[in-house]
Amino acid sequence: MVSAEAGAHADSVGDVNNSGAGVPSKCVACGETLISPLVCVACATLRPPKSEFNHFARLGLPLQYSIDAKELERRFLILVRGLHPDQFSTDSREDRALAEQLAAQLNDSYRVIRDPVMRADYLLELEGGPSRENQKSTPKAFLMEMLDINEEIEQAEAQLDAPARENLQKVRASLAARRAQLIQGFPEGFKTLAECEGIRRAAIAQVIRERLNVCSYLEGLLVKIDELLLR
Amino acid sequence: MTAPAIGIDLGTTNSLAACVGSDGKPAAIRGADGEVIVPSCVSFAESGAAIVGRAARRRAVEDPRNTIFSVKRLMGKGIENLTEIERRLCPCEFVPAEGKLIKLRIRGREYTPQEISAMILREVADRASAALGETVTKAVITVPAYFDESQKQATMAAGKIAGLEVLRIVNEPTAAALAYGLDGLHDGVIAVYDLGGGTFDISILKIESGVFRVLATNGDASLGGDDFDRALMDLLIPLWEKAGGSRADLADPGIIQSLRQEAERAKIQLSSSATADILYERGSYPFRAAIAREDLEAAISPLFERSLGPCRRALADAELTIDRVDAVVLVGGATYTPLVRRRVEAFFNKKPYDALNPMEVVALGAAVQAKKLEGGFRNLLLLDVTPLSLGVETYGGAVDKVIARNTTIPARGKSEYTTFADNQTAIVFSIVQGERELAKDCRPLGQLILRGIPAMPAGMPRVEMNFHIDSDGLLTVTALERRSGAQAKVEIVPKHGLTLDEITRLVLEAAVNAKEDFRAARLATLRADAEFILKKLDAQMQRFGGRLDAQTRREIVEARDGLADAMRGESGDAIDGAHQYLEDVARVLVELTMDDAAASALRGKLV
Ligand SMILES: [Zn+2]
Repeated sequence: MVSAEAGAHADSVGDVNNSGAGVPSKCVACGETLISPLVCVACATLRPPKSEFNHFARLGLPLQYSIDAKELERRFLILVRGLHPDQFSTDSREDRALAEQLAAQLNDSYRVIRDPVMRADYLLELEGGPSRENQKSTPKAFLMEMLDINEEIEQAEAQLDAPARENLQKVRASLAARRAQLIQGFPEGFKTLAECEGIRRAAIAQVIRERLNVCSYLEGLLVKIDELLLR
Repeated sequence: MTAPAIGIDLGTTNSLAACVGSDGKPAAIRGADGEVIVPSCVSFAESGAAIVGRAARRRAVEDPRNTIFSVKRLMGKGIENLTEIERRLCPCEFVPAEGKLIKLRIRGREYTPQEISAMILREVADRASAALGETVTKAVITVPAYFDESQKQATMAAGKIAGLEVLRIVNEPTAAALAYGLDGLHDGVIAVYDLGGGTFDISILKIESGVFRVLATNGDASLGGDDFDRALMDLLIPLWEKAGGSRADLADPGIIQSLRQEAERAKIQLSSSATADILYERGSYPFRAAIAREDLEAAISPLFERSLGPCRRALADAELTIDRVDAVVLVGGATYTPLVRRRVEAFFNKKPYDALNPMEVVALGAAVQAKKLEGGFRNLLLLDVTPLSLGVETYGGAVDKVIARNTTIPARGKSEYTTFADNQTAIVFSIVQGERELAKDCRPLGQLILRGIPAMPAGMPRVEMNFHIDSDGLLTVTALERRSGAQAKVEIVPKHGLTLDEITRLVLEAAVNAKEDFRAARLATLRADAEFILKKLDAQMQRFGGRLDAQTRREIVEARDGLADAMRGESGDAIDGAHQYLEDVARVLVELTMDDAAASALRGKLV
């Protein structure tokens, strides 16, 4: 019944210029260069959203997979200081309501961009790749392998004594390593995707989607194991 | 002139207010009686007048049926999800009310927990007004981080009923972190371990140059120091039985209350010494005994263990290991317990940082946020999270999570749904809160009905649900059918909450009754205080009266009778004056009592 991933707003890419440094324009109020289309941090002017910007644009980041984590953090802190409703608590009701909306958008974008899997998922859709709903497949060999792992987890769940926990830790470590390895391949994958066209591009997008599906499958298992270990 | 906005820590056992002074530092507000703490206790006098705080707590043994403790544990709860423990907390009668609300029947009148909480808030605010010399109208009120939507909204309603403009509901551990941050705690990751009277919270925060970001929060909304008292009471009851008490007598709420007070006293003593002397004098089965700290620790250790699961979950959600935590701070009265300090230190492998008073730190942080919301502290910013996931019940009873737990607020989330029957023109959405996979295991928050969907085959409509959580943590849900433009919007009013109309009515009632109530309550409080002092005085006179000279004795007796007379009258000022006079005259008795106690302690040591 649910079609879109909660929170991942499928915005159109054309709303804002995402090329170059990702800076959309200058502030109409003070003329300063904007680092985000949501707010001018120089003069504390909130900018009513005419249309929705995509997650990268809101943070003033170029539309590409690779990000500098430190830079993302820095931008988030500057922007959230600029548009959080608490900074407008003595302003008009309209300004506060607008700040509530914009802060929710900024928080949402930061959440998606910061997470390497959510970011890949989101960017792939923006790039016209298949969505999770359109392509649910994972490699056959992977599924076969997971049958064994699932069985191992179920056995550990039945016992949940010290050796079973130790075994779960081992399984967890190997699954986490595997997920990390897949994630490390995404920057290269998206770089190639950006360079290619036509059938080749579609094929690459398929591969990325398949790997993303594997990632979320692994994520589900990791959550399950963590829950068991906390029991 | 209006007073600055204050911060109020509305606790399970104790409440207090704080305010940022002209030096830019928050300080707890001291009442005219010299006390910072107001016990979260309300007692109803025969006249029906509400007595709040210390005087109310003193009435608990005499008049247990009309004295309410720990009302916070009832906030936002339906009668069907009250635990046995919560029922036992209130010796008065629970009345099921419309919408499955809880009401308490006291002296023939019914009260919601929100109204009782409002009385406590009113008392705290009045004391603050008196201390600041200006009328307090605005406040930031704190709640346990792990409170759900119903409980938060119930607290908001209590503030409104008390006639306060509630600037913000802030999570207790977050407020504590704010106070510590302002007090000079360095940037980094901090864990706030908050064990209050009735609730446990753990929050992991990152502080970076003035931005306080909550990374994860977890807890147990029914674990607290009250449970320690109860565990200790379970140790006292067998001793009391050995002295001749019977199980049947335990049905008497007066006996339970007095044992509970003895347990509380012993607990405090055990925080600083290895054994506590129990001297239970009330009723027909007095007994003396000693309880060792080890006995208490054995009893509360399993309770402490319950707090570690949430700690591990919070760390996992924050994607941090224990060694990444730079500082651990302790909040809440129950963290005075040595076992708690020791075990928290062992768990985090770090000595807890406790520069600020654990009893006051939450109110201090609330005061800072109050000042911020009045335009101060531009460089401080609090980024809190929603503690529990929010979602929609889908066909078949599963939950589709729309906003995950520990998402930074303000937050939004979106999800799409469709119809499952041909020509279905309306959809009912049930909004739930919680982590379980089935809606029936989560807390129901409310319903949203989308009507006016044009007749279409099943699966054709595209209904978009948008969730918005504002900076108060309150949820608004909207639904939009994209093909037809049909819309619906609700601000979620929890099933067990008060509607806006009910709150408005209660606010009006409170305002109309305020003057009358105030007079009656003051009179009742003064009488209760006087009654207490007379009883104490009579006992002291019996013991030490013989050591006084005739002149002093006569003065005291006259002052005593003066107060007894004033108590029968209707003038509060007369009672107050007579009480003051008696205290002055009888000071010599207090000194004798203390000298005597010191002498016998000395004798005890020599033996
Ligand atoms: Zn500007």
